[in-house]
Amino acid sequence: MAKRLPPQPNEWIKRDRRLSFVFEGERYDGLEGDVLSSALLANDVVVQARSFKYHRPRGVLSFANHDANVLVTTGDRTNVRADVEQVAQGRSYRAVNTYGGLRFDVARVIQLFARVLPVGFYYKAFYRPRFLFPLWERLIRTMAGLGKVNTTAPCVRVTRRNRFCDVLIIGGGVAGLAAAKQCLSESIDVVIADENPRMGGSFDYLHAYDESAQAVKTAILDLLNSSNSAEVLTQHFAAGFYADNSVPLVGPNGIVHVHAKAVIFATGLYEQPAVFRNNDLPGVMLVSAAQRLVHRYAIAPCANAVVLAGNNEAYAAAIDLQKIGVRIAAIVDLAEPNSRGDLAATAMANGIQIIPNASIDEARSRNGRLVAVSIRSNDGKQGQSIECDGVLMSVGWAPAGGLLYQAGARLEYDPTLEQVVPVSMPAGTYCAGRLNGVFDYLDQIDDGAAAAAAALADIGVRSDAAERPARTVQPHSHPYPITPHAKGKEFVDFDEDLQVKDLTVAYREGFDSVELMKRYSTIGMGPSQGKTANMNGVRILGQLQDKAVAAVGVTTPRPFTHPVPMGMLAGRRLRRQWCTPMHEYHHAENADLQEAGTWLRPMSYTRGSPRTAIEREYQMVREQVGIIDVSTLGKIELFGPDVIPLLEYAYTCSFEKLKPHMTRYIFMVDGSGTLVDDGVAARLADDHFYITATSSHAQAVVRQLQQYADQLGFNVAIVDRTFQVAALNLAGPRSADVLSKLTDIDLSSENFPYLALREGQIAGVQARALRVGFVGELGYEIHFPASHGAAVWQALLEAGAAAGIGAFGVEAQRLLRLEKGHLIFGQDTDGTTNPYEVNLGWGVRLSKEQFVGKHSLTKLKPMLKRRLVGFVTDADPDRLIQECHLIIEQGGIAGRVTSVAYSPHRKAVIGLAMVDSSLTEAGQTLSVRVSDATTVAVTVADMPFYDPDNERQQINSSDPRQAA
Amino acid sequence: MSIRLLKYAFIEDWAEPRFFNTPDELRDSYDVVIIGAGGHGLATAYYLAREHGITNVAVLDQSYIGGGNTGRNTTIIRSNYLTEEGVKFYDQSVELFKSLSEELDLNIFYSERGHFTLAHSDATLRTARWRAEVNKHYGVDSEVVGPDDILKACPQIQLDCGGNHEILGALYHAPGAVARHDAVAWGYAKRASEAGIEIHQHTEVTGIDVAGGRVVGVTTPRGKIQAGAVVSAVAGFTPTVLSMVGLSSPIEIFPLQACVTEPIKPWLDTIIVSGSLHLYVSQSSRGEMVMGASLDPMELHSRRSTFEFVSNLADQLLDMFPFLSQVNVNRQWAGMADMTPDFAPVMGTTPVGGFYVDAGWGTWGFKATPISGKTMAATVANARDDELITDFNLSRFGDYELVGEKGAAAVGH
Amino acid sequence: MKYIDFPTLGRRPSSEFVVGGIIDPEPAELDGISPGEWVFNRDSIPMRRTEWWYHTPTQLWFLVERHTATDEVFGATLAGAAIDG
Repeated sequence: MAKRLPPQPNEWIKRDRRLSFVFEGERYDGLEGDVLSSALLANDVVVQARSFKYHRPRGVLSFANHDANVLVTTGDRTNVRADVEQVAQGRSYRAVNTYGGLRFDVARVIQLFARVLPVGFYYKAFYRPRFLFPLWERLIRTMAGLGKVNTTAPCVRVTRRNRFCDVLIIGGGVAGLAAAKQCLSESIDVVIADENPRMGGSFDYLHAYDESAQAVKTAILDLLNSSNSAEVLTQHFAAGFYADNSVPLVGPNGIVHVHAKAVIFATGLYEQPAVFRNNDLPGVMLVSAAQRLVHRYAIAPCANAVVLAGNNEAYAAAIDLQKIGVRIAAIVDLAEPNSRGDLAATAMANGIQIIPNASIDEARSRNGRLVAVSIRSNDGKQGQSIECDGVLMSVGWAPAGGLLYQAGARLEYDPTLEQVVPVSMPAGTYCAGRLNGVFDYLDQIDDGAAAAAAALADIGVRSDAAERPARTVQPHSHPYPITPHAKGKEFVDFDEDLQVKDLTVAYREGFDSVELMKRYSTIGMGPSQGKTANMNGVRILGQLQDKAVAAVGVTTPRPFTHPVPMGMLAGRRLRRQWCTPMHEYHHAENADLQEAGTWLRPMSYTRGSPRTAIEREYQMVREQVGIIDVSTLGKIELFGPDVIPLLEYAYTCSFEKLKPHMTRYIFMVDGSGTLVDDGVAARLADDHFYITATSSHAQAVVRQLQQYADQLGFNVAIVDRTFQVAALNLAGPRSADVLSKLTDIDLSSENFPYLALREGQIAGVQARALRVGFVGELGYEIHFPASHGAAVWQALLEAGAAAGIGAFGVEAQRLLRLEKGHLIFGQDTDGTTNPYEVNLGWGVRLSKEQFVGKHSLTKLKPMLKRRLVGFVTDADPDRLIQECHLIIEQGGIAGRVTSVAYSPHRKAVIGLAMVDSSLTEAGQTLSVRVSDATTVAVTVADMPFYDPDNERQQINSSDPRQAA
Repeated sequence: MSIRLLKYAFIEDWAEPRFFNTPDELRDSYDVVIIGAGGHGLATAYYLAREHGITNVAVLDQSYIGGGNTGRNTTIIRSNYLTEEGVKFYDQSVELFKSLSEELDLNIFYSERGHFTLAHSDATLRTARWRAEVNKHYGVDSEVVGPDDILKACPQIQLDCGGNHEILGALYHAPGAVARHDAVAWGYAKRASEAGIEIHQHTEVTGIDVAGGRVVGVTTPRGKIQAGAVVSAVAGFTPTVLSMVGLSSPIEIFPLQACVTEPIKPWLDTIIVSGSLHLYVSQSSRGEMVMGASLDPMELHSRRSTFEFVSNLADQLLDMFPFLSQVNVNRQWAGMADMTPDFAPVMGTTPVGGFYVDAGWGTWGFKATPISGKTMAATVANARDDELITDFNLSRFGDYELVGEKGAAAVGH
Repeated sequence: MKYIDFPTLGRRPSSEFVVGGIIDPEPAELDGISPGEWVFNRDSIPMRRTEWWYHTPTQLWFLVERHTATDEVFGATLAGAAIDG
């Protein structure tokens, strides 16, 4: 049985801090510092979970954060690994993926069907008859999956931290600490991370009784803890290795994203299980797991153990465990014990029975507990049966090398060492220790120091270190620790419940390379990503292929090293939201504020019934006067001798004839002739322009103009003034009256004609006024410093109170402009529209020598296939035509409505539609198919629908100042 | 329980015959050489044999079957496109997918889950209606739905998205489905092999030989092969292959990344896509949340992963599904996507005689696997573009006859 | 995250940039090439090349030499300065 031992020299638990917790509904005691698996073993709970496919009982295997078989849930968190979950007072845990609890899991009946559930069985059944597939699928989906997610759990986002340093050392074991010591001898900024709660790695359990090693460890840790230039991060694992030495370290308080000049990998090895029948029984575990349990948590994993040996480590562990009172029933050596040097002799001297050249044929259980193993000699003879309650395996190692592959290192199988080792490292990265194939303790120290010296040299710091030791020449892994059994259940991948037969069948069915075998059998695809499975998989495949292991290849381990919670990946929630200077007003006046890209814009000024609000705002503008906040427009100022050439190149029209203090409508296309953006250009002086761009493209237009200037070497300063300048549009027949009260600008038609720009004081603020008419009324677009935005807005509202002024929103503006036939880019155009299609050909000067889109537009002009037209219909407005309803002609799609609304002016529904060129004549009837699949007849009409002769732009009073 | 599975129980050492051949020898000459043993290349091979009786075919791949984008995509199948040519093409693909398990005698786990493209703004809602109207016109089941319908299908979704980009509605496409991507490639490989077509993995094409304006063969490290026709089906490597015959194209290569969580019990039945939040998510039959985002921002011929991708994705996803914050992401990976200027593929004949291209599959290649195989096979067999793909010919760019799928893309104003 | 050394800016994360690609200015005359070819065709084979990168915070364009197979950046120059000499 498993039990808690008397105090061990390096233990991590606090004996005086007892706590209690609940597992599967039963209360247990533990100690502070315990992880769930150790606390359960202290209570002799060896069955800690059920397996993924067959629901077989499972327990501790690796005790190194790879026990993806022992997943529990706390309610809010699921798929929590019991081998690393720190037990907390009062916390309650359940095993995941059981039906009726861990002990009575009814899904274990699946084992009875195992023979008809071969590898990839789901590819070979359930699709005939087709109608039954959804039922099968539901069953499979229900059985699949591990933990159940709590869909009401709170969102836990954990802030990320960026950390820049000279050297990052990943792994705080022997080699990592030696590397740290070397770094600390120079004044450089070093970060050392280890996934365990304490630094030390194998110092704790391989060298637990070696006083000199413990002294070395303590000295380095003291040095680290007292250093100002080192950051020590325990409980932080390196989740992945990304470009330019960037490594996110995942810890209990979030991710520390390290960007290092050099990185030293001292990540060590993953111990690999032996493959034999029932090797998944709880009680069968890796030797290193047992040692970690003993030395860190003072847990004896069993009372009477059989040690399965493929290397020296097995002997050392057996001797070690014997010291703390575990009976070693036998060491079963896969090979000849003579090769184990003094260790075999010591073991024998200690009374341990050694069974040479044999393996475990089968582990046997009674009432779910391991009771014995039977032995098979390497020549195939069945051997004795040995009673035991634990099997401890040490048969080989695989590099903890995922990060190395991601960094671009090359790793190869070293047939001498029977292990995959790095053979070339990318610039700025180094590896040391057992990962590097260096096993001897003193060599590991030298290897760590040498790697650090190389890393330091890389960043320009010279330091002295021992020479790089040679790689160990004695194998520490057995080339084939696999004992197939006629009755199967020799598990290769514990996460996925894969047996030897599964891989054999996959191979025979054609999945004969590592990648195909992985995808077909799912080996290595479970939560532990094959850390204890892939190496044996490769060995089996090598045998099937009759090739050396080195020739088989490996699959590429991808991020992450261990799974990472999304709340940690996400970090803090930061969202950009821009408000205009008049935002307070909009908010106070109940505006329906909606996102327009990053901006918030008022759609209309009453919540609840937008329709009446829009009508009221519309009438106000048509009959009196209104103001709309257009501060979101892009506002760009351009100065310099080459401003005209730049604009001529960037926009399609000609600017030569634009007189100072006059404006014009402009639009931009890309190289393919597709419309990109529109706005207004105002010339302030010969070499000085002020232009606007649409709200969401402002930054892109600035970027584009700057690129053109740089590409063509134009001498122009381009200043993005979008955030410095507020803008509003004052529009309506009484706009001049209102404005005149607040300005020294002469608003008479003679002085300030349509499309002119004037500068002056408005409400005491220096401003620019542009006489433009997007909504089809006399109006002024006023631009002024954003810091005065709210004041000018308020001053206009007050000055216009008698004239019936009010604010209007985007919705009313859309209706107003539609009557006037003005386009909205992005609504009446799409990602494929050229200027000719939306009747903007007048704004394209193909005779210009050079401009963006010229060659495409020259080609596209005669190819016109569709065109934007206006339409009206007398149909009932409630038979709602909506934007993007289709025009149907002879059963085919002949166009699309881009804008539509009920026009109070025309007292009919009007709209814009992009239709085939053959349907664009005024008077043409079009059929619009509406949502209920019926059609509504509309008639192509001349545009604009409102004020075709621009009479509304006349200033009625000859002297507006007097009129006011 | 099927007899096929019972054999494993009752016949000693039973395994099915190899799914696909891997002949040791490369022959000197084939009627057709297909470059790329992904879903598209293998489907082309299969339909060449089944529908045109052409079996003297070799499929060559620099790596292994289905190892490129076939095995890296997030397996969404849909036909809710914006253009006539797009809708018709993908609709036929969906039809082929529906019976593909039976046809290939391999369960591809074709699973209709319903597909929501969320709209977070008026502009995207408008585009959703445009797509719905076009889809309905061609008999494809799509409709614009409101927040309540979204909640009905996915009660866990947070419509306010944490305060920005509230969900206003969605384009709902009931036939939207997922499938086991690998199985599609293996199934086609199996059927092609059964017809006698050779599949040569780990056989990179390093050159294509052209004489008198026609392809005559290809060069590989295993030797030269004569070929009457050559089909390039190499998503992610198309420009390099095109350069072997001196062709240029608008295709640019961008990485597309994806990730999965650890398996959890099923809770998400539908496929959720949000263009505004740049993410898509579904739950696989294994229980993993399968998640992707938009393309990486710069051209790159590499399958490296970035931390920014997975952190940005998690950041956005938690706005919609905040309770996933303690669910773990297990693995991330990347593919290389052939991007075209009009978000449509490049298929069919080329100015080089006997050289056919099946490319430009951007982020939408998997869903087209059956129909692209079928139409490419017909194109090769008849030496003329199948009528379903004439609009996708490489020549459209020079002619300014682009496919209009991008109409839905530029809604940022 | 990639960090790259830029003239005048120092070391900056790549997230601060918009990559504009290798687009050349549209010439007045196309020399022996059709408009469609000029506008659309890219020869996107892996190579070391010079790209336009825009630094959003400062609104400056840089020319960045990068390899499109490895993502390795070899250096950056201020675009305007490079053209002015």
